[in-house]
Amino acid sequence: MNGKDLMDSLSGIDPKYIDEAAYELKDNQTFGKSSNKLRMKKSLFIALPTAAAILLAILVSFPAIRRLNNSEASSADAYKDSEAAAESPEVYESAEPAYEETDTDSEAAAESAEAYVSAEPAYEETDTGSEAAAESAEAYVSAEPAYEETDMGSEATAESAYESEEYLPSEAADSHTSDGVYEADKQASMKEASEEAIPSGDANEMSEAMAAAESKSSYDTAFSNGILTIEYAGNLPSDIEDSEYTITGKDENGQDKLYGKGVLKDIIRQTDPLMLDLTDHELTAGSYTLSFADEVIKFSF
Amino acid sequence: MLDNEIVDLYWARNESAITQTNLKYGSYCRKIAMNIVADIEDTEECINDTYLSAWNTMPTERPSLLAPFLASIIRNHSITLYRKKHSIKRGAGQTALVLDELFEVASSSTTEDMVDMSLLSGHINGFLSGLSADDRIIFVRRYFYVDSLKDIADRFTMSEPAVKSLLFRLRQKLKNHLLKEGYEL
Repeated sequence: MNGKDLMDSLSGIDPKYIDEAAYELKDNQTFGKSSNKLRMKKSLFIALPTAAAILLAILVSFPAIRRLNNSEASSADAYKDSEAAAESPEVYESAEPAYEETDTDSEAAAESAEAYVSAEPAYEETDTGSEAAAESAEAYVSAEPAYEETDMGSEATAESAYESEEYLPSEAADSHTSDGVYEADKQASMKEASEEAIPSGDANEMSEAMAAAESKSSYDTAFSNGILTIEYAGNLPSDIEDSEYTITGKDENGQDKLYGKGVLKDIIRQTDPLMLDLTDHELTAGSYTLSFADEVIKFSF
Repeated sequence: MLDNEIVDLYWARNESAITQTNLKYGSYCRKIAMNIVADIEDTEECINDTYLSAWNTMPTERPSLLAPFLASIIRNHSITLYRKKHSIKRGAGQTALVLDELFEVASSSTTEDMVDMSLLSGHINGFLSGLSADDRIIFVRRYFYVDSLKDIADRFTMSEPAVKSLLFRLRQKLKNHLLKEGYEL
């Protein structure tokens, strides 16, 4: 028996099967089951990976946002009462090692703030100047002990004091403004430090996310009788049928050679797992790289 | 007009039977013939032969469903004409592709005479009865009606590779079924 016999004998199939498939005669009949199923499969094929990606992004970013918020809150506390903030366990409990550096900076900055406020020589110069400066003098009097401490202290304190000397002659008339500027600077520096702390704090989550992203495109290949079977660990990229593909490899001289190119839909035998018919390309034993869409598949046989 | 009324006209040897058949099933028959011979003139020739065959057969046969009855006749005429015009197997159109696919199922060199066609049709019917409705319709559309993959894919809102893949699986099933029935393939 051969295909011709089969072709002939198919004319003798049961009339009910011929009639069942005669959709020209019953055009109002819909094949809902398969089309709906297919549409559902297609939408799931797109929706599920998208949902998974969104969920992954949320899982990765949520702890980072929380830490950023904590960092901002604690820096605000630190500014209000730097000593209390330094002793407060809540502020430091959640801090990563990198954040500790930030906090040290914050302490130094807070100290320099005291020095800044207590920059008396500059204040005195200003005091001889204008009435506004005289009013702001009240604000500085109480800062004197702190200034003394600072004066005996670190280089940072000295620098801050120096900066305040430069700053005050022009701006001392408005002590509120100078405080405000300082606060903004300090918060900005705290925020930068916190942002630097986040990547190191979330290193594990980031590496997990990268591993997940890598595993998405991992695959196994098998080549037999001209049929390449690719089993994806994750999801096959959607809408690949119209993608162009190329097959490259090395020739006998070890030079790169293009073994084939075309449109995927012409060679797809099956999509799950992805089976590609490469018989037309007459590949010989060796290693090849198949590229389509954003995928690069290496296979050998 | 109902099928049995048209059949009555054939049995009464009333020539309007052919007009009524053409009115009701002309485009249906034309589609089948066109799928196989892929030529308008050949299609018309097949249709005329079909009506003549129906006219000659009808007094002895009384089909309850006229459409499949006509479909079988026009399919046979179309395949015969196709073979006459394409003595070399490979040619244009869907028929060559369908024949190629069927040769995948069976390619034994046993002569045609050795095969009992009605018995083989019965076994194919047995195979079809075991398929789901959608799979069966797709199989019949491809191998009886000789529809193109694109037409089937459009009809079932599927991609062409998906239809191709489904047909491949169905052919494998048919092959296993026929092997089980003792055929040499």
